[in-house]
Amino acid sequence: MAQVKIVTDTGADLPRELVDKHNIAVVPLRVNFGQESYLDGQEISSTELYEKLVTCKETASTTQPNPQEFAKVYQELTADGSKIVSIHLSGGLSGTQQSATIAASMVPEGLVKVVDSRQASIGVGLLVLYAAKLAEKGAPQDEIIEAVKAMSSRMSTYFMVDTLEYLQRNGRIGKAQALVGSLLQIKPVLTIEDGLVAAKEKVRGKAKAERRLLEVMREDMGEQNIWVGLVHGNVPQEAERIAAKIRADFNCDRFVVSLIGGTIGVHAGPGTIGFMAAPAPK
Amino acid sequence: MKLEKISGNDFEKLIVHAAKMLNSEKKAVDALNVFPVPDGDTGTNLYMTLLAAAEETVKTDATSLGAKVEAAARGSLMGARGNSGVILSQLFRGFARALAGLETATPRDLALALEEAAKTAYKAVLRPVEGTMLTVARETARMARQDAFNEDVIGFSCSVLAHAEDILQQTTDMLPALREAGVVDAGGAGLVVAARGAVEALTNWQKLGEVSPEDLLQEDRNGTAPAAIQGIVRGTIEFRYCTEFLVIGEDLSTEEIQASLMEYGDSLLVVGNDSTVKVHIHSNNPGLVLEECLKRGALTKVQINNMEEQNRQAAQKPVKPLGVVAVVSGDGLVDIFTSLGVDLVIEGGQTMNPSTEDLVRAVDNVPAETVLILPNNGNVIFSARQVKEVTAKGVEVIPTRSIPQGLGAMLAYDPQNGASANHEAMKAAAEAIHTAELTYAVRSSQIGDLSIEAGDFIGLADGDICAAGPSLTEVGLELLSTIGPEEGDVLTIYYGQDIEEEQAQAFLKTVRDRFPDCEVELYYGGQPLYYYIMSIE
Repeated sequence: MAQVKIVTDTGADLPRELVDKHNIAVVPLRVNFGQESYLDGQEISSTELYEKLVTCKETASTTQPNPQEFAKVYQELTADGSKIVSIHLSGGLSGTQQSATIAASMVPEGLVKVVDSRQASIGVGLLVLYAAKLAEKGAPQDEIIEAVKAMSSRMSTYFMVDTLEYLQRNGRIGKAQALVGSLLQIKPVLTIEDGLVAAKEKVRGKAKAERRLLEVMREDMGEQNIWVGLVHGNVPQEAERIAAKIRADFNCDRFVVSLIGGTIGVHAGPGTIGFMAAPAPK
Repeated sequence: MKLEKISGNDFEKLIVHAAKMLNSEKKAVDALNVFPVPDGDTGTNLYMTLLAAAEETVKTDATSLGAKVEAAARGSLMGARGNSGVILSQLFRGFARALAGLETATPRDLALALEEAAKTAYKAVLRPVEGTMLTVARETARMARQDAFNEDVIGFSCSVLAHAEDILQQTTDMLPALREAGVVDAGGAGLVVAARGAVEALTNWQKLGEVSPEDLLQEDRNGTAPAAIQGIVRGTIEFRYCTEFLVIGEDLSTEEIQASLMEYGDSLLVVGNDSTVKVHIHSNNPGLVLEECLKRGALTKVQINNMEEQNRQAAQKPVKPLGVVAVVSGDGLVDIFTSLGVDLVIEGGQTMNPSTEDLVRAVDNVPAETVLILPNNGNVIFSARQVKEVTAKGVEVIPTRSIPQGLGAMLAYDPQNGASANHEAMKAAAEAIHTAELTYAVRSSQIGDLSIEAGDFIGLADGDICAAGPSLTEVGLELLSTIGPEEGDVLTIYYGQDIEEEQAQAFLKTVRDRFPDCEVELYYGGQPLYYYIMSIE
């Protein structure tokens, strides 16, 4: 029987066990340190990654998978007559979706449909998990896409970085650009607006930023049941502390805590905390 | 020499040479980054993609032009790196589609293929942005149509290249980010460099004919690239006038015209046939250039542009909707306010209150429709409010009574929002901040229970004297305790011009020890009279 398979990229920051459990195909981006290039999640471990981010003198960068790499995955997965929903990092942040779209045009029309998640990190991850859940129930391709887009439009993303340096180095800072170069230590609460990084609020001090992170999410989500993703840039204890607060204060229908991988980590840097949520699907 | 058609064999040489050229210039293209950081990789990505295309072209056994270009398209798709590489692969895809099945191609075939290439790439890109390599590809293709009936592939190619270079220069003005950085688009630049390599191959045909493509590629991989022919990055403008015109005459020789104009400038391009020649040159003596060509024929379509003026106009900041003027004293604090986005600082405040006239002048000098004023002192608020009556600009006064309040207000400032939204947000942010100031008493006095000796250090909490004594540190701590910072508060200390850094560091440590639950930061403020200005937020 024809079924729908879900493809994403390493920018979704999904933990390995969830990827395996739901048969999600993850196409890796490349993480580059100077001349060295690694397939994210395959050729570089997170420990190595965070070590290199701090020690490597050359700016790290990422490279989107090329269309051929996507086409290969698409061809393999559609060989049994399956269709694909391919959900990727916001087109405003990465060209990954671009490559996927070109690859989709290299297989028979309609087999592969590419969705711009307009999100990043576990925000993409939550959409992918939702898509996988619908696919497991036997939902058709178009229905899954509509549902994913609807969830994306109701999703809130807030995050704070330890330093804006990493976002700036790679030019991913978008509308928060104005904060760079300010002589005061500012810990902005960042968000993704129209697919780009923007500063929701400029805050002094880490404790205050953390408090605001939870407050603004509360304003967005209220008391309803939500799906939550919490990601961190290699600060597990801090993440666990915040996760406990979220569990206590929010009605979490589904809660995923995950370490930020290379694709996002290179741009956000160590010490990042991200909080993404959407109303729980019925 | 004339070349009526281009063969598969010719194409092989062109693409190999294009890759070579890009290899030698890729670092310069990488450097065309809108962010002043060494992370650009557009040139490298394009080169890797083009190299893959060239290798596939050389590898294929087929000999027809159509098959060779098809191989290049395939190679570029598999080797595509980065967004620019992906776009290049799509250009090749369209180019190959238009030339499919052809043994050789005429300028007309090539012009059509260029158009198909640009169309395919536009379709593939989800959100095409003007001012990028897409624009260069499309506009070049559009201009190439005009040359489609040229009977010489070489003349056609030279003309196409000249168009591409012109359009590339225009990208700077198309994207705000490029304009701010004063650079052309990196992807477009890479494309032009590759095209220049290909055209170079055509014009140096004989010389190139002796080297096989395999050898060229081998040489490339070994890293022995030829010297750059012409840098793409133009820092300052050496030759100011971009001069373009057509020469109409009989028995014209492009070689002769080219030779006669060499000494007048750079970016010289002379293309055409024996009755019409197009000249393009950047020169400081456009008159002499014209005179020189008048000897050979009649001139038409003369265009002379002052590029420096064009650059200057492009660099001029447009009027923005919102700006900020702040009253501040102390060099450190001036820097901090400026870094937060204040357009203009008026020095003054505690020591010298600026007049309404000073404020009006500042407001008028900010290139904005509406100007927000941060008085940062209770005594300046009134004169700031007067400004409204005098200037034609919109003025909003945020009633900040201290430096910390002013800084707090700036944190809430968002130039994307309107004046009244900002006014509200900034006022609220300012009010949420407590100010502590440390100075000295100029005379003895009694305030409530507090008896103050002349020369004592005194502490003011939100403008009220609440601590006094002979020890600066003690008074400082007592002052902070009065305000009572809570857990998680940020306590920021700005030290004045009369305090040494070491002394300030010691004070910082004392404050941190006393308030371990707060985040305490220290900055140089450089303000007169006030040893420390502190904010608690």
